[in-house]
Amino acid sequence: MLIINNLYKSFGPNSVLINLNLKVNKAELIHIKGYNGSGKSTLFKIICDILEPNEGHITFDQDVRIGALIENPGFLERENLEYNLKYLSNLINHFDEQKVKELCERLNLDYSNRSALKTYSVGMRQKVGIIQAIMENQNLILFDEPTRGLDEESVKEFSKIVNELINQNKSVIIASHDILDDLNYTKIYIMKDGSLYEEGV
Amino acid sequence: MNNFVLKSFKKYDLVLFFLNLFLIPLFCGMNLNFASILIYSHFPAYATQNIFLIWYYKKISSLSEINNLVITRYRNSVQNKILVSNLFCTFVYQFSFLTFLYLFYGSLDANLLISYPFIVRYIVQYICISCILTFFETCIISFSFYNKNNIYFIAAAIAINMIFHYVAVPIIFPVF
Repeated sequence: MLIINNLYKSFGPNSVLINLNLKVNKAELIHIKGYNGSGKSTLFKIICDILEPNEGHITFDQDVRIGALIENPGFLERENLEYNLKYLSNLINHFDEQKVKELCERLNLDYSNRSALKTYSVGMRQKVGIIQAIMENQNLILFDEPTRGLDEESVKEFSKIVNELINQNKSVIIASHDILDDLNYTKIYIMKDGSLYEEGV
Repeated sequence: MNNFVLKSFKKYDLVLFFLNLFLIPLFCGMNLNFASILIYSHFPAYATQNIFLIWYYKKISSLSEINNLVITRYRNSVQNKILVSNLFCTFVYQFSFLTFLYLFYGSLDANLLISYPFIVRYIVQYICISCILTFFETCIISFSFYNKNNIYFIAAAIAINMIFHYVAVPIIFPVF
């Protein structure tokens, strides 16, 4: 599904990713942990084409549709939840309102709330970020610190959703400090000195 | 249309856009001809275009807040989408502006055409240059999609606009 070969990225004199390799197959759940600034978000941004690598290349399967929650997600702050999700969904795909409503309900978000997103708390924004990453039936999903700001109940619901995604033959990569107990990771990597090292599951 | 900038347009954007055009006769009166108001009375064209550019900048700036989410969806075709949007908005702006002037200030006077036959060439040249320039200015503004709240892009576009109207036009189209 995704193959990364010899990826190198630097910001000025600072090398963030050095000779990084990664292979993700269908229905795999990958966990990447690492210190702040170790390059997890940079890796995700390169996969999503937000940043360009200095060297190396990334190969995707033809049918890959990426969904991503990276860092603090930005939204159309003056618009409400429905408008934001509808706008993003309609960029390429058809808006599946039923699915979005169901996801909102599961994550305890009020879909019919007319408040602008700028009034949302960190946790609520994070939930919107999670929903937009999976609402269009994306099959390679990247979550960067997905549980930041989420309450315990929402973390459990998030774990359930991730398990369902894996059962639907989708691949998920989670970058975070914490390992969620309810998830069965296929592989766990630690990001150190710009490279990924596999750890025992 | 599958374009993230154009999809963000709302009805009130169009209303504001046409209100902007209706300011022209309000400020300039009706005692001018099409050529004069288009080329030589700098203020209407300059002010109208600046309002259009500021509006476009605000649109692009608000979309820059979600640039990560947009790029993730469009991948490497995002720049093409921006270019298409710039072209489309340039066309709509110029077409509306010229149509509006024509409807309010009429076509060219026959006497004017006999006395100054080169005026048609002037108008055609002016419209061509103005279209290219507007497109160029929207392209500068669209860089703010990648650089949030960067006021330099809109400042540069307005400066270029001002130089065109107050410096270049008198040189390229000497007053007849």
